Amino acid sequence: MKSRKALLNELLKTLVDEWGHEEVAAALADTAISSGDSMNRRASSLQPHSSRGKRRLSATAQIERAAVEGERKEVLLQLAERYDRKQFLPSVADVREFLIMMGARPIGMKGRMDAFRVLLQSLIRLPDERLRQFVHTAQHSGPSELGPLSDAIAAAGERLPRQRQANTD
Amino acid sequence: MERQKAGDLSTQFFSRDSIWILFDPRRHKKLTCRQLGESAMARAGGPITVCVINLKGGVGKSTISALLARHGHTSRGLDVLAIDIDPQANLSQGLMHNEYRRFLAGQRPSIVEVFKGYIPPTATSSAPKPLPPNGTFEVIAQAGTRSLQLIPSRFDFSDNLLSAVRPDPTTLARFLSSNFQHKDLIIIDCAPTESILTTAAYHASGNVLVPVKPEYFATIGFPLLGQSLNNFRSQNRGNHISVLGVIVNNAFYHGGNDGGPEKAQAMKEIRAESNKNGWPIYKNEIPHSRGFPKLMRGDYSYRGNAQYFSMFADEFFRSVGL
Repeated sequence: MKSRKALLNELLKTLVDEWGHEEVAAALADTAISSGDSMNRRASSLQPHSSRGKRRLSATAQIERAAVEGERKEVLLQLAERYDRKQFLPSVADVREFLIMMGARPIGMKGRMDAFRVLLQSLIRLPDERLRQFVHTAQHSGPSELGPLSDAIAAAGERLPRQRQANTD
Repeated sequence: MERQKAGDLSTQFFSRDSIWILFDPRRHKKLTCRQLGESAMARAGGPITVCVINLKGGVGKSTISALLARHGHTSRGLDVLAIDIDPQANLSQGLMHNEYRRFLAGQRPSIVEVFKGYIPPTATSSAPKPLPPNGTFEVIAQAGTRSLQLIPSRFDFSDNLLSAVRPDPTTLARFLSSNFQHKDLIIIDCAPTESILTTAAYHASGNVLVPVKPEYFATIGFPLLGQSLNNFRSQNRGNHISVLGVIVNNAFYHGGNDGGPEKAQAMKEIRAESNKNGWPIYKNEIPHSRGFPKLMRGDYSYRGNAQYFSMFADEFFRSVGL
């Protein structure tokens, strides 16, 4: 049976693998502040103060600071908002795959927020029309599930008899 | 005739030089330049068109079609069109993922409309419309001027087609010849049945790829497919169609005993049937991996042995000169 410490280390490793050390540390610090839990306070006090200063910018904040204007900025902001809500490329593995499909090299990405910095370099080269497609498409929204897909097939099937009826009338 | 004498597969399969082709940064950089369109020109002889077919189901046709299309675009820098003519639409779901639901809900153009020749009236448009010009169906990926596009299928495909007064099996070939001559590669995922859809795929393809699983019933579809191709050739003497090869899929577990005696028996039968038909067998086999269904679902968190698909893919692309 695993010790509590080993279990904690394993859980933390999973979190760090997915979000990166700094993002996890920042989230832990936030949790400690909001909960007022003394244990968490102690944990947050162990975090070096510099890590709070280096907290990653959200995707939206990165676009707001980027040197793009007008409609293009608007589209990129919409995409960044979807990224922050994890509706667009919800995991760092999705970002890697997306970059490969775009012919770019997925390097220098430790966590998902790091990944947006790399992703932005590729997105910024795309035409507005293609960016708009990403805003309105669910193709890059993560793994698909059969339940909703079955519902969509059933819904489409319900339209068919009416169409056939219309064709024969 | 065989591309290999199956035997020392494992040694060749796991040679370290070729496993990481997809991830080799030097190679990737070189391909990136191609993908950015620096040499974006249509092939002189038009696209290489391949239909992936076996008249036995469950052999991996859709998975292989999807992964070859993706590999062709990402690792070879090709301009690719994938066509789903199977009413089960697994290729469409494997490339579009969650977007396939919106595609259905939005009644967007599919292979059904290609066979109909027009887009029928909808709730928002009371008049029929022409098909999308020059292949603006579904864009799965784009890098520079090269893209991976898909003509998706719907489950009512065969129903629609059979209800047409005189379904024409040359419709797809004519549509491709008018609209997709700029593509490097066209991959057609076929239904595991002998029907007008099969004939349509033959009319549109110069090449056939036959996936097979090394298990009992493996070669059950071979005589049917051989007969089907011979019938087509005798009825369409101007059409050239040849079998590129047989690809052994779901062949072994990494670290296992290479399938044991059951696989050995099945391979014997596959080799015998392939020789009888004059069909080559690809040297690289595709291993069993939980990574394949994950990739089809759009989950890139774990590839497992699915990463070795690139070894077959490279052999395939060499075999068609791409």
